[in-house]
Amino acid sequence: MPRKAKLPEAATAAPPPQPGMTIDQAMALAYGHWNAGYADQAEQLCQQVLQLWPEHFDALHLLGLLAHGHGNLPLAIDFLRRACNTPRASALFHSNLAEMLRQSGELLEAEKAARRAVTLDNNLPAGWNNLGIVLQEAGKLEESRSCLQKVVERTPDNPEAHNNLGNSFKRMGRLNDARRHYDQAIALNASYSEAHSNLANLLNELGEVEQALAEARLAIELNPRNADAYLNAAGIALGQKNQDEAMRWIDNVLSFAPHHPGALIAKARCLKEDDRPAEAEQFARQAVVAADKSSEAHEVLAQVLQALDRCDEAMEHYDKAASLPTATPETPVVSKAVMLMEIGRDRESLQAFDQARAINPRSANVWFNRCELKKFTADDPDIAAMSALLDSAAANGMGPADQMSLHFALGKALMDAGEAEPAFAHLAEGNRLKRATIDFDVESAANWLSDIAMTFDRERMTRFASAGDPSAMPIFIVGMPRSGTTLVEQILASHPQVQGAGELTILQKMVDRISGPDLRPIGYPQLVEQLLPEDLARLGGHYVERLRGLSQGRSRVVDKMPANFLYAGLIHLILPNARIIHCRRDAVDTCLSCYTKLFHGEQKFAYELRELGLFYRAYERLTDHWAKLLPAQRYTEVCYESVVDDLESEARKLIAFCGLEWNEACLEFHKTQRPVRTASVNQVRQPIYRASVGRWKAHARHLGPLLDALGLTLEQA
Amino acid sequence: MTVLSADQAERQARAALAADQLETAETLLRALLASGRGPLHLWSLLASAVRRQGRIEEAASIQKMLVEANPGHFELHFDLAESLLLLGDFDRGWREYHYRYRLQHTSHLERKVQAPRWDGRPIPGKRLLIHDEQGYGDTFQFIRMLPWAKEKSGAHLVLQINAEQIAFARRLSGIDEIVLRGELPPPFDLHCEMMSLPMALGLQLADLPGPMPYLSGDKRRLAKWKRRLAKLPRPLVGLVWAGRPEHLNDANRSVTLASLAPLAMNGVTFLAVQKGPKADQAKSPPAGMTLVDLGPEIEDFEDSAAIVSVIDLLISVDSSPVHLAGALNRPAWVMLPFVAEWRWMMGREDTPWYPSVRLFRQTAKGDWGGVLRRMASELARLAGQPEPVFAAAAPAPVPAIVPVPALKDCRHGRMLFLPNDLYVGRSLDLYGEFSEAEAQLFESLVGPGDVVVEVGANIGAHTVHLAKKVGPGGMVHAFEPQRVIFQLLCANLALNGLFNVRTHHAAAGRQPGSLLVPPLDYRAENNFGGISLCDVDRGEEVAMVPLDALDVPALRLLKIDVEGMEAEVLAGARQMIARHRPILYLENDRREKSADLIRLVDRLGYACWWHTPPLFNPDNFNRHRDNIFAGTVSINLLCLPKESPLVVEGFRQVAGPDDWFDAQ
Repeated sequence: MPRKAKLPEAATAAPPPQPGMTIDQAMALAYGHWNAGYADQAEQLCQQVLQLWPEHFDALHLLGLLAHGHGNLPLAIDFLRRACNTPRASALFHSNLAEMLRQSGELLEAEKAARRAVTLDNNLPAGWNNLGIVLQEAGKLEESRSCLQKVVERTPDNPEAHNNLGNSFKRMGRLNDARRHYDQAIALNASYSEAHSNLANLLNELGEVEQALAEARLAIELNPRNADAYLNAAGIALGQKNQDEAMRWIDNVLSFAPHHPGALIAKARCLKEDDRPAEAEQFARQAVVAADKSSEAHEVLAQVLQALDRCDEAMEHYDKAASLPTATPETPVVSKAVMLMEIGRDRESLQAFDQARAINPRSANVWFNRCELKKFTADDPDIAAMSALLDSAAANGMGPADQMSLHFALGKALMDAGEAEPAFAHLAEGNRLKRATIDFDVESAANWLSDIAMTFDRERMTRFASAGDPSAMPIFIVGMPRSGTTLVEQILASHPQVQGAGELTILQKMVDRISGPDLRPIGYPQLVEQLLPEDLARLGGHYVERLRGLSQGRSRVVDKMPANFLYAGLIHLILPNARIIHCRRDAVDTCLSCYTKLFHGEQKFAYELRELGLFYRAYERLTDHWAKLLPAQRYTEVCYESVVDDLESEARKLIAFCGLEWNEACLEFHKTQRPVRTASVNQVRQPIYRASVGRWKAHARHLGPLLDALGLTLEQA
Repeated sequence: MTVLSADQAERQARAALAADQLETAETLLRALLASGRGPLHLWSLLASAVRRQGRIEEAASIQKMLVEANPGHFELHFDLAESLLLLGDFDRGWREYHYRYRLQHTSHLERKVQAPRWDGRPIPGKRLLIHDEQGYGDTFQFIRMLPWAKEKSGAHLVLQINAEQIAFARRLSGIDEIVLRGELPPPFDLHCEMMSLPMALGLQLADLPGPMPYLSGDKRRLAKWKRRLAKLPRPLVGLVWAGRPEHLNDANRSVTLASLAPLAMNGVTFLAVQKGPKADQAKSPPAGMTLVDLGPEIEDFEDSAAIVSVIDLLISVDSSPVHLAGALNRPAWVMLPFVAEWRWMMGREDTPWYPSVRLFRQTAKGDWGGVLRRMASELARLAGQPEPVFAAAAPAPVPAIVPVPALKDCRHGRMLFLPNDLYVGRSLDLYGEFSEAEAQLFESLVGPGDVVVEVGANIGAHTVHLAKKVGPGGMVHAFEPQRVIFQLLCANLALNGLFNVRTHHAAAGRQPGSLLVPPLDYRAENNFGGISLCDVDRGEEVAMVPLDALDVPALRLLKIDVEGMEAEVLAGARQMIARHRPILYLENDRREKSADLIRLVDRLGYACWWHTPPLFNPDNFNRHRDNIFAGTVSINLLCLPKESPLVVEGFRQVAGPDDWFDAQ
């Protein structure tokens, strides 16, 4: 019973080497003790051997294993380096050294050691195994696969071998092969936590979310300290846009492994997504300290710095990330390219994309992001390249998410090229794949919007007038996605007193987290009926507090989350001096534009034409209600088409509405150096994008269900 | 009322816990956690406050929530393990228990063996090292699993064990090699800590206790101690009042010799078998207690084993001598604190681990007085002494005496019975039949030439009927351990001229042995069929036989009605069941035992259906209209081999171990 205090067993000293005992015999005895769990005796024997024969190869090796068993990786590596530096060093020593170097992130030296191991002994499965997993982490996937395939052939009943090979296939995007080997690993050892965890990750990518979560949970049950299993569970939660849940999984890892690089990276990423870039930076910096040679750590730090508008610093870390070995070496380069695009350095951005494509021509991620940057013509070879990649998707086991990205990319490219027919075919398929991952019922959504309108009546607005927080800092830009919110934000944010904070999820999360006495979230709009005047001020104050952290010292901050149109009434109650700007745009143009985009955030209504139309009308009824209900000094509407027609007068009206002095910079918004981070990034870099007005009419015949749902006929086209 | 800050409240709660003011601590913590949310450590404190008040299920539900929310905290897993094992949840309990070496204060104790841990699968040809852990009591308790591990693994079994207990292991069968702890064991392929065996082997409550006794003592030591104690007047009662002081829970479990003063009585010779730093107390025994101090003469566990084999009873706190006595199947009484260690489970006075051990629990925290009063009363009875005056419980009133058995013509024949028997006797008396719905079921199952075994035949109300059904070409074996009831059974068979019944005055059980049938007043009103033999410590000794010892050429029906011991009977009948695949008809009216029984039957390859015959049959033999049994039913299982072609209609099939007859 462990609850009884007692001295550990090691009280008995190892028998000293008997007179006449050879050093080999002493070492055999040491290994025997190590095997049987008597580490201290094994260590004593090693030390005695070292006194007789300093730098004895085997004693150093075993001391390395002992140090590793005690969790002292640097010391273990030191012993093994010394052991490997002796004439009698065996392949096994090099192989063990390689694995320990890998564990400490020293991939380059690890690769060398592993190669030395297989050179010394071509038949040592452990050598091939360790070389295989080093190469895997270094992104040399094909060679890694070939090493690990050897291990599987030689030890077909070894579950670890199958698991490792599965990982190589997974990283190569050959998901079917990966799954087969994970399944085999589990068939050989049902309680193999790592294999269940890897399978969870794979299933999540295949869109089998529930099964993925079950596998992650099982992996954790089997080994409660399997950090990767927690991080995979967090990844699943993030995919479901459930950041609270993701954060709980990550915090769990940090509670038992506070310096775990993967957990620190995930935490930073999660905080960044939660619009807390300052906190995210702290964790990203800890990650870089914990794993200086981790490409992922530098990449996440770069992303966080980018979110903080510190693009030069971000660039350094993107470059650092790209210079370090990693399983998907194109990723940091893509992230860098996207940043360059956002700050308007298009030429460099395209170069970076080309660099990423050279690293991994099969990465859907590269193609998808890259196509945003360019205008395609019919003979662009990219179109054929993307089509070929898609055609071989099934054969290569490409996951549905990557296929989806490629369909959207091809839709965009072909649309540019004026080939509407195949463009719409790809868009239809891309949207269908996306829609299949979403649980959404447009009728309930429309009912919900009309409930919201009914909840906020004049009586309620009068009763709570001026109860909220008096700050005038927030400016909300709301509307449908793709309705010109980014353009309006750019105009406002070009004003020296205004900071553009991008699309913030702060308000939505705040609303979602309001709970009743039973601790369950009450739900919007019902919660409004339970709010007291002091709650309004508290909620408003909380929002302003979060905004202040993003203001960079400016007096106004723009939150351009379009979906905040749902909360306009609530915003006015909790922040009676906040300005709300509603962007309107032609219904069909808006919906068509939504349909051609694969959004990063959650836009559940945007992936099916009929649903888009029905949702649009429901949105219109709600915003009409706001226009009647809310005072004109606080809520205004701006028409995208009018801004395009007469930028200056619309811009002057908006600046005046916000209570600011006019500034000429607002007309030069396309010169602004601040990054723009939404799906509209490229349009706003052009002075004004007239081509997007009435764009839909050319495609009317592809839009039947949308027009029906909107109550329009083809003739109105 | 002053409002406390959260910090102040937490400090006060911790102080209250430290001072054993558990209710106060709980109130403070519940206020802090009133929102339903709060930091981990506050929930842990609450679980601890609740647990120490003995509300284990409630504590376990908090602990489960904590584990669910923080799977990486091994402390939480271990706390949960203790609660689950206390509650008898072996499946998850043993799994969580394997985190015992992952705690802050235990991680340095783990032996980091390089070979993988055995997971219970057969590994013939491999070498399996099983090593003992820390407490001597643990080793005595779990060493019984070594022969099971040998059987399940088929491996070459190497046991590594401490010097103090190695002699006992050498007398155990099934171990191929034994080495001393600390020595280098011979090479091995897999290993398992002794207390991980329950997890590896999937130990279930129903598997306990296994063959008893499983340890034996040294014959020469036994002879020596027989001589040493021969002259002392019996009964001889050994006393152990303190465990090892290093045990973290020692303050809760140990007492002083002086505090055992209430046990002192004339006619009982007490023997101090205490070792260790508290042994000195034997030099000044409490007034009135005849105490012989054996402490200085006890050299090792061999002496202790011999002593408990010679003496009549060991009375001990929760310490290793209890396990030694239990493993030797010798009588021992254990004094347990209010919330005992997980191994003693909750509430029960017996223990599935040791049939010869009886538990005396505190009924309130720290109250040894009550424990000692109950022990003293029982001891007085054992010693034939007048009960001590503080025994407050009044003897139960004896109802009017109806001394003579009645003889009546009943549905299936002429029956002699005790009319004061609440169920069988009264039913035959009023209605001329007993549980006729069962008899009707047997009509459809049994025919001429069949062999039937009936365990718990009582006075033969069904035996007579079954014997007539199988006819002269068939055979019924009827078992009944209660002597007076058995005699009536024989009388009824003779009265009906039934020569195809073999009666056995015995209990059926897991292995050969004997048990005690509690003395009953057969003249008083009682349910003589409802006597459970699970947990008695005095009465008439009768033989216990495993049914597998019975040589039958065939078997159509095995009917068991033994008041909660059904699983034991089945355990002793595995070969018979495997060979003949009889229909089983089992009483299953104890909900707490139902799940184990259903699992066991399932493992035997049987499907079961609920059969709940009402005691009252409106169409009874005497046409008696009054239903004196109201809605009373028997709760039985009809079990058919899964391969049986018989079709069961009109009965509800048992859905799983947790199903119960009245589930919808």
